[in-house]
Amino acid sequence: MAAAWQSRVPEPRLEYVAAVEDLPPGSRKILRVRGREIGVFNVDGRVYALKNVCVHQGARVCLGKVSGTTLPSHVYEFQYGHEGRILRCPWHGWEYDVTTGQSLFDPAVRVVTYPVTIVNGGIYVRVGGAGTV
Amino acid sequence: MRIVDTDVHHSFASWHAIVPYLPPAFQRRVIDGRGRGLARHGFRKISEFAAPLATDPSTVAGALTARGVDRAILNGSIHSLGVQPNMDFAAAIARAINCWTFESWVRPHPLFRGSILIAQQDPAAAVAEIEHWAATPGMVQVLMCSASESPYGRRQYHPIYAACERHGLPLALHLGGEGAGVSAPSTPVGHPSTYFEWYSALPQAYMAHLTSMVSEGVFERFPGLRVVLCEGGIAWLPHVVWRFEKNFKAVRAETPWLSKLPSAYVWKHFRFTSYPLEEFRREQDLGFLMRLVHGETTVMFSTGYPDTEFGDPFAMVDSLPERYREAVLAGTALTLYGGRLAVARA
Repeated sequence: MAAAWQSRVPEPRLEYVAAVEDLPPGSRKILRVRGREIGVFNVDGRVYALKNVCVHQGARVCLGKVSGTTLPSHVYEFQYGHEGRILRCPWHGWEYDVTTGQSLFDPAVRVVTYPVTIVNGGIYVRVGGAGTV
Repeated sequence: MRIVDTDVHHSFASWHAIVPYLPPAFQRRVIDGRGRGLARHGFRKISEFAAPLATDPSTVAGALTARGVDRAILNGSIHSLGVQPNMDFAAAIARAINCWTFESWVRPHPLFRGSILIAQQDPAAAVAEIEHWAATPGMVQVLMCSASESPYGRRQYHPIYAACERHGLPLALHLGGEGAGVSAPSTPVGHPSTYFEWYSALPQAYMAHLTSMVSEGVFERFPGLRVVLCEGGIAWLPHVVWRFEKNFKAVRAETPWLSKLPSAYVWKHFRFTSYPLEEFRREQDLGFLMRLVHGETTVMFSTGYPDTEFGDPFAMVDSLPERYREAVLAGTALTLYGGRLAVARA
């Protein structure tokens, strides 16, 4: 028998967010899904879903510029890479890897990500109900 | 080992003390000039109460031993060689002072350990000086002034750090030459007007060097390097490190070689000497500060002997919470300097 608090938390389920053909590589969509905003990104043909909340101060991070960055390197070397994969928060410039949600300065710092499933040309994101992350 | 003093300011009574260790051309310059050959800043404390200089090794050894000091590291009183316009003269003076320190202080007195003084404006000569002394028992660290032409993260100084790391020698910086010779102004906004202002603002040099060394990747290149900041206090650290860390998260892309957060480099690679430790009206505030600066592994006791500018160096550490006391008085220094410090010499 489920405890009372469990019964109030809706089961995670797949939610339809877009048609694959409407999200070509390099594009993004921001949608409201079961009570939270999610950014859906197509990076080189793969689709990723991130919660539209920067863990720093709650900015709508998915509105930020998507570009590349200087990759971890030896001292005084500059290697630009990950073009199209780095999301830069519009408030303070924190960089996140769209494919993992991890920040570039500390992998333990990450925006919430959601599993993505493609079924019959539709993009589905697995999320819990309102009140969950 | 109960107490290690990590910063003693020994002096010579006369420049003649180092003349025998100078090449002939510079002997003349020192004898005739009586030290005036060194570029100075204009800031001198004029006081009839100044403590006598620490010129006699036996007297200094006696005074420190009487307070329970078991080892004392000599950092001298000339902290402007690295900003002398004539870098060859500066390098010759550095060599002569090192010889005199070793022969007159370190060799005869088991209490003392020496610092390898360098003139860092000529990194190649500085490296040669380090190589000359690195294997000498009793010389425990490299010492250069914090006064400089450039921030110490910049790559022209890296050969010095490579030499320190190669020989397992910590690098100490000491304040005092700011504004002299070819030094940058002693504050970021220009030259101050009085000794009072100059002396009060000195730790700003450490803030600049610390952020420069971390951000230019010195500790990525030389992970074995440890840097001792002498006589600059610790209360500025929480501010500088917080701001440093905060900005890194936003502009990491400028320095992609940093694999860790700035604070991780600071607490791992920097050490701070206790004279002068900032004073607080409430004792618990010093404990709070020590917690913020990871004082159990970063702060080392020093007297600054014979200086008395800031008060009694022993009283400063008396108000430390018990949990920091052993580490500050001896433990952290023993870990840092290892056998060079701990092993007794015949």
